[in-house]
Amino acid sequence: MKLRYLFFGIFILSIHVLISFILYLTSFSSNNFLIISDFLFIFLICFLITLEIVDSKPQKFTSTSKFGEIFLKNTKTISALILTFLGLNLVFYVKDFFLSGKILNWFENEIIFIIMVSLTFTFLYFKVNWISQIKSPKYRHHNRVFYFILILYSLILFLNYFKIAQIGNLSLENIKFILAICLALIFLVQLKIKTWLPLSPRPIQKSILWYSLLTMLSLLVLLSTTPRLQNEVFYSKFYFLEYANFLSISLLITYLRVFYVSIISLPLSRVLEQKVYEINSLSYLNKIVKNFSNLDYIFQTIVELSSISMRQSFAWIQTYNSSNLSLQDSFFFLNKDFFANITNNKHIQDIIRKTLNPSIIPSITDVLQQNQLIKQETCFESFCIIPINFRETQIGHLVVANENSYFFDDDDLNLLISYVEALSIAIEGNYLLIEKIEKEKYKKELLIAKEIQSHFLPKALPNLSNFEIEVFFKPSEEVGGDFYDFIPIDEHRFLVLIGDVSGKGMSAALYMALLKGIILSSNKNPLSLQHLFSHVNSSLYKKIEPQIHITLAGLLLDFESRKFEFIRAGHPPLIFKNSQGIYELNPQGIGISISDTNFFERNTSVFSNKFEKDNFFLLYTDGLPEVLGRKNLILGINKMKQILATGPDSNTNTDSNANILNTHILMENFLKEIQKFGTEFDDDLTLVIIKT
Amino acid sequence: MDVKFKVESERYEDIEIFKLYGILDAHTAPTLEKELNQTLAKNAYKIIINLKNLEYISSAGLGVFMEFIEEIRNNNGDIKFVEMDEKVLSIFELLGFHLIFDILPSNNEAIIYFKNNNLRRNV
Repeated sequence: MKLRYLFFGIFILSIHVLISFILYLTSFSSNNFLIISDFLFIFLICFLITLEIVDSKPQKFTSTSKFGEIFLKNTKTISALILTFLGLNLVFYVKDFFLSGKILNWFENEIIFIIMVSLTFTFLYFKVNWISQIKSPKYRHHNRVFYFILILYSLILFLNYFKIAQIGNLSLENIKFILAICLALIFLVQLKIKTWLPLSPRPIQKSILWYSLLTMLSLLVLLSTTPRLQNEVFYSKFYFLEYANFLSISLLITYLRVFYVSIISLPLSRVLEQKVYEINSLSYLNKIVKNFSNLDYIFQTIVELSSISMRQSFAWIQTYNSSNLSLQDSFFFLNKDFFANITNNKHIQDIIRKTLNPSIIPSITDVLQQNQLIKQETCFESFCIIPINFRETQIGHLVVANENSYFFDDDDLNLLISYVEALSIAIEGNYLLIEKIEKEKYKKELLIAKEIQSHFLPKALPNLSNFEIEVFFKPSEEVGGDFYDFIPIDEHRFLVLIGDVSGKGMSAALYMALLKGIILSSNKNPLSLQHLFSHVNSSLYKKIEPQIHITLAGLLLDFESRKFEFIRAGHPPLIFKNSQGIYELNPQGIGISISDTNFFERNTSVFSNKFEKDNFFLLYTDGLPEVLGRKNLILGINKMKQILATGPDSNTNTDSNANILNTHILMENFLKEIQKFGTEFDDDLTLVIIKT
Repeated sequence: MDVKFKVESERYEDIEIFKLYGILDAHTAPTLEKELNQTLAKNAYKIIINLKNLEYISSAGLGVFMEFIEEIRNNNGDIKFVEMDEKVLSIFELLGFHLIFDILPSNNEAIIYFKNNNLRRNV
């Protein structure tokens, strides 16, 4: 409310009072001048009200609780005005009863008049406030109708002065009543009581309930009393009295509705407030569970939330040792004083730990009596127990306890279950984080293992003038079970070893390292392939798991005698090419660690033959022929022989040097064939090509 | 998912006959391991493995037999392989398994071997 309008109003009012006072003193009867000044006064007041309406800026109400506050403030003003009016009326009646003097009567009229104007003004201001903050175009029509009714009624009041406010059979009273109801309806539609009133805070709702009751009652009294205007010459006073009366009817209807809604919503508001808290707490939980690296904090928060949402019950989380998670046997709680009471109470702990599904224990005394146990001294009577599970194992419990029996209901249980669900997400996240760290660690270890394993294999190919060597080695994982080694025995003897540990990955790699160690430790001088292999077999027999077996092959080249020896312990045959043809050399042999030394030696023989210049030896592990033969070893070996027979690629035949097959070209031919089957294989692949 | 490997077992007197189907490798070996474990738990140590329908065996597949053979032979039992095709036989021969296991043409021969108590020893 702008003060300047108020001052202006008071100024006009005082002039009006002055005129009426003079008129009273001079006992003037009505004449034209008076009527004109009176109407002028009514217009001025109306003009002021209109100015106020036009000038009023919409207040920005953001929250529903603000709505309630504003409504309450206005209601207070209105009820205060009405009560003042009624109080004054009472005083006047009492005064009349005791002294029937007429000296103060005109003040009476003026005071009633001022209050009526203020009431009209307040109510309109209140209404306009609501209208102006509703921006929806839907309500524009309502506003127009609202103003139209106000103007219409003003006109009717004017017409009433000239005794022509009779429309058909409807008297002024009836028209007033109909219009007042219309006004109230519009106001009600715009108030949208149902949306903000139940959502307002409980204290405000309560105040609104009482104030609307008070306003209603005082309005009823106001409407039932006949306006006391005695010997009044000014029509303006009747005018505003009627106007206020008119607005009072619509106000009464409005407050009836407000009262009704608040009576209904007040009992609900407790539930509603609880639900709002639940939603808020869950959304807060959802926010914090993302920070799952700090499980302790999440536990602590859930305990706090559980305690508050269960109407200040005692809550705690107990966790049990879990191998998967870094959880200990521990408790998360709020109040240390109660704590010993719970941890030391064996019966209660028993009941909690045996709870597999979320459940409510309405009365612990009953349960203990059923099991014929004597109740130990505890201050708790009812319990809500929710197990915390992680991947089908129980890792803890959320427990809420209260000293009253039958304290918890299913809604409480459901809320606690949703807390535990949020907790489970955090635990899962925490687990995955730990797992990821572990995996990273393992990956690092694996890289170290790979690095170590690479040391077991020859770092560089022996650079020898009398023969060429080319190697292809591809483990299917970071580390593998394939093995090869080049060992120069003396100036003219050279040993090539190739091996394969069944399986792949880390286990195979560890056995491969063991194999390398045994070979290193064996006495190679004077070297006999039989002895070397026998030594390897006896070193490993019964020392490794029975389902693991190792195949090993050895090729010993003697450049002095130009002879080679070949031995194989379960290993695929040697492919040998000389000027006559291509051969598959497959001397008898049994896999390493399958049998004892005797049996091994009896069943493993050495093949020996001469070699010439430009002969080829192919040593490989079974991964290679299995890839080339699509799991068929025989087909794969045949394919290898075929590749060896093809010679240099016919497309690049232009260069005369290329006509001569060397290990490099042959290896490229092999790689081309292997690439036809992809780049990732089930088994480790190793190929050693030797050309003399 | 199609079944890569399947084991069917039938019993003839005190002899357990396993028929293997499909591919026996590192992935499917546990299936056979489980079957053999159950058989051994029943104290049945005379076992015939019929390989008529086995398409492929890897070294891990062979490892399963090595895992059990010692226990079986210590309990007066044996594993006999029958109806082995050339492809599988080549793998057996490569590793020298034909030297430590009996590889026979059919179930009947294997049964006769068991009846005559023709068992091999651990080596």
